[in-house]
Amino acid sequence: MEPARKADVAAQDPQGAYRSWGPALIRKADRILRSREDAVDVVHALFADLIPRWTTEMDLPYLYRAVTNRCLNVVRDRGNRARLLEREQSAAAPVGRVRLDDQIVGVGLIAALVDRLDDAHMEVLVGRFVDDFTQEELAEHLGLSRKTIGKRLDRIRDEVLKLRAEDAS
Amino acid sequence: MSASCISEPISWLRLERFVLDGRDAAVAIHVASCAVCSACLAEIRSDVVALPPLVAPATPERKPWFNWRWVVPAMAAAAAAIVVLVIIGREPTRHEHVATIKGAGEVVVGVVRERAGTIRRDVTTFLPGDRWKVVITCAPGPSSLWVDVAVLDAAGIDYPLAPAQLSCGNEIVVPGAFEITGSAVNVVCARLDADGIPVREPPKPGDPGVACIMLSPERPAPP
Repeated sequence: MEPARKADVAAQDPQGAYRSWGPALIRKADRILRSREDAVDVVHALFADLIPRWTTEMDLPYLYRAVTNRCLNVVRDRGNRARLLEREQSAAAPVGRVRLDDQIVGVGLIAALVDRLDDAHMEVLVGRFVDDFTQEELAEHLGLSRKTIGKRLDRIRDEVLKLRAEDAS
Repeated sequence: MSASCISEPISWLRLERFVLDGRDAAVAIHVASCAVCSACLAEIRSDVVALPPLVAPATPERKPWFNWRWVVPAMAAAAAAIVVLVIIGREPTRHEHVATIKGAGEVVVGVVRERAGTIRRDVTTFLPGDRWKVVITCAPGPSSLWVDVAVLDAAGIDYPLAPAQLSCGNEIVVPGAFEITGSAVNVVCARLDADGIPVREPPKPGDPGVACIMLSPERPAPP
């Protein structure tokens, strides 16, 4: 992936980065949370926190990862979780280009897995099935080997199978 | 819409970057022949996002180091602070915002202040109208934690938020927000319990399962 020229310019200044990348990051948060209002809150709070410690290394992929972590924190909160699950019912169905065993990864599955998997696995789950990264892109994005990504995906699938078995019993 | 891409879908990040700079030729070629990815690209282009204004955190103003006008109110505030410290037994130290809870480990309690749209996590001073949230940080795990927030001042104790059950994580927000009024020092304490809703006893910094933060008024009330 080539770095974007416009993006590099924006990285010099948090306000410029917010204007240039804010919409992309809000759309990303929206895909995880299925709530535009919560997505705006997540991205706005992220930039507000980053203003005092902004560096030119904070590019769009870095912020993408930060948004993933923040969204997962939102889902971890049980109060938020109930509200998001309710809102997901009325949100437009996601495209679901990359599916986890024929299942679109939505708030419900993320919420179920966030109690079972650590941050590292959750980041792979979101990267692969919500952000639609290929395994190679995801390895590069997270600074991991392709083999590690594969192992984490296997573990994610195992947990989903356990979940299904528990639901069935 | 069919969710089947003709080959490997173009990630959302690549699509977003393509919208920003249009330089990734592989994306252009792919979307020309893939209806699904083309629709995703069109979704990005047609999306309208209302960005709320991003306000930089306020920087402290330089003020004269001494002003006679504040002597009496400052002394009143200091007296109130002493009363609070007498009530709660002793002054909270830096580490009293951390409690060790059986089943959850070390739990760090923090506060978030919202003032005129500016959100700050690094401040412990207040003005009337500020809104405060309490956040907890603890190692993620299967266990959950009950949190009950109490606010103490010279006048007594208040419980502004309902007890909440939270999963551990980084800066997990306790649902709800509150304001602090008056011109005296306030102490925000969270009583934490992994087993159930904590019993509402007046908390003291240093008590088992209690973590506290002291909030100070930015300026004393006018005489």
